[in-house]
Amino acid sequence: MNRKRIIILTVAIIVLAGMLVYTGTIFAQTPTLYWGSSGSEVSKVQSKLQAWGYYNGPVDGHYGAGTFNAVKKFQAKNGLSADGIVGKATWQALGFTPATGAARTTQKYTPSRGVSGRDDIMLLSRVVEGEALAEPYQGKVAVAAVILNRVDSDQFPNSLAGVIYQPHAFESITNGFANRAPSEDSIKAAQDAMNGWDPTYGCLFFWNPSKPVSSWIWSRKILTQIGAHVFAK
Amino acid sequence: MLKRWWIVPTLIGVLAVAGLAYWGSSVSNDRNQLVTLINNRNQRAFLEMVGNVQNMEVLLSKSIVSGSPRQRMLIFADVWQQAYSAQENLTQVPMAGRNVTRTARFLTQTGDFAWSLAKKYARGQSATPKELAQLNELHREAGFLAAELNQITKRSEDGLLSWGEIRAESRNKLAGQPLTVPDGLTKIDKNMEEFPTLIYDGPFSDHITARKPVGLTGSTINSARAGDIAEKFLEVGSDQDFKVVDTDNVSGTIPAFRAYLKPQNADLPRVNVDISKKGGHVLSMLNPRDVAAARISGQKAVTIASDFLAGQKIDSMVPTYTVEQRNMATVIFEYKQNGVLIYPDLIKVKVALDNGEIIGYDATQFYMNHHVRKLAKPKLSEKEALAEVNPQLKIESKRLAVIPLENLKEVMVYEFKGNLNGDVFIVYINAQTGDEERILKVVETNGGTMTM
Repeated sequence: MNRKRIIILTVAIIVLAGMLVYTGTIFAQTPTLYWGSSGSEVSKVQSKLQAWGYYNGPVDGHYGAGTFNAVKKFQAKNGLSADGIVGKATWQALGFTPATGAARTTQKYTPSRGVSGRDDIMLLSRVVEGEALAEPYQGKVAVAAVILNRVDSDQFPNSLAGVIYQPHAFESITNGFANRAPSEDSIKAAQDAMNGWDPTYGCLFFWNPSKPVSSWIWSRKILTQIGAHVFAK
Repeated sequence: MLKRWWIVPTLIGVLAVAGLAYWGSSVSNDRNQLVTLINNRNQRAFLEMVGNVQNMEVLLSKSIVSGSPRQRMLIFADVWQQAYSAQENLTQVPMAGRNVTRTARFLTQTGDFAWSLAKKYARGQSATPKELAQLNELHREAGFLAAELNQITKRSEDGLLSWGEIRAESRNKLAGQPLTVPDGLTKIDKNMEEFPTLIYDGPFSDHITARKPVGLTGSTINSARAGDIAEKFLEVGSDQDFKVVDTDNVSGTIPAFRAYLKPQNADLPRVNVDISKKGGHVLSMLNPRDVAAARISGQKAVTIASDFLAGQKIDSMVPTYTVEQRNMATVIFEYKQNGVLIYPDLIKVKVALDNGEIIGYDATQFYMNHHVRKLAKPKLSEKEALAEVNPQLKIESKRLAVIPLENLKEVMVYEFKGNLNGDVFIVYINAQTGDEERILKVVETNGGTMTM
């Protein structure tokens, strides 16, 4: 939920690409090490310090008190701030070249061109049209917001198309009403929801209480009513 | 001659019956084909999910046994991928009027939890004893799920499986009590209920979904007071005179009154203003009136929105973006503390570009997050941070900011906005560690231009 929501809210329609970059840095050679770190990187440091006579504990890959003290001693001797943290400078002093913060690509970068927010708004507004045609404007924004909340929720598919086309999720999708062209109001409502307006404050369900619905849905906590729909978490 | 009068009508009759029979059989053929197609898709999604869950169980057990951090990291990444896929497939099974939200949630959380551990190992840390205990529990639960799913699969081999979706299916049913897959999944879902809350370093952790607002100050108000606040709020941004026509309750994370107002002298749709019960803060407002052709610029809209916020006595808010769509400009403001931009504390103000009226307002995130932060002095200088940015990026602007991470923890970063052959990126470098925390890409969409 909210996983993507905060950033989407923060900068409207900016696309998040951080995750890819994150996986790219996973294999960086010289991570910052400190008390409590473990792994082969710690072993590397331990054996180096052992060879140079700063460390006489076991090379076990666990950054404990012994390693901490050895690192501090090493740092003090080498004119580094003796904080016991193996950062870039310490790695370098130990004789490891740190991976530079940014890898240089050798090929010329081609600007991207495939992204437009338009498709999402049209898809969303068609469901709004199908589900909330006769509802007041706030009710339309609310329906759009519920769909977006589902995308962010752990209980529903992870994409807008996945949520909208989830079998039996929306009546207007099942019976094909959502294939009609959306009205100006529905598009505006979808846009407001995309820009972060959520009159339901995080609801995941809505239904018309005067129509028959399956009984389990009534077990959800109803937060508010807008027009003919009640909204629940 | 007379004796043969019946030949023509009979011939027509026979032709009609034959035609009808042909038409009927082709319709029925088409229908059977469609039913088979749909069933095959359902079957695929279901069986793929069964496979995913089995893989999850195996991978979770491997992650517990493995002694190598690097290996563990790869296994956790695998768990994440299998759990994600299982969740996608589960949510494609037709579940009319039934519910598998708990199973879906278990799958997402397990994947998310594994991903958070993978990242932990990537940073050179390792799982805590508590996290290992949670892994054991997740492994047990995945095993339960896999075994239950196997029960359903077994019945499908016996030919007793149906999707309960298409009525005609019952015709083909063999003797015995048929079990529909949705029924089976619903039954499993009920047993997933007792799963304990999972608290870890990721976006779906239970401590994040249950978070409470921290920015509300003041005492509780009643609905009459909320109405007054709503009327005053609208009067500032408009030359119309608004009166409350209805008030509702919203019992969300921030309990609120929702006042509906109408302008006195015009037949326009109702405007809603949401006011928090604690402190009477305006959380949100939407005025759905039609907006005519734009007569003021986006720049002017920013000034109008800024003046409006100042009038609301919400200080230290600076405009950061404007999104222009359909003759409306949505201006995004961020809170600034000691020169540092605090991204979680945002307010959006929507201005109609025909006459400059304020027609939308949203401060929900501001009141969820706003508090005075203890801002530690950055360990890195701006120059040192810039050294971490890809040198190909042509830097256009830079500043200090606080951004929320996936787990909603806040970190102080240097924000560098740069250009690479026409593509604009925003890179966030942790001001204490020099880690690249996030990269955002700015996209100009057809739906509206975005400026910074």
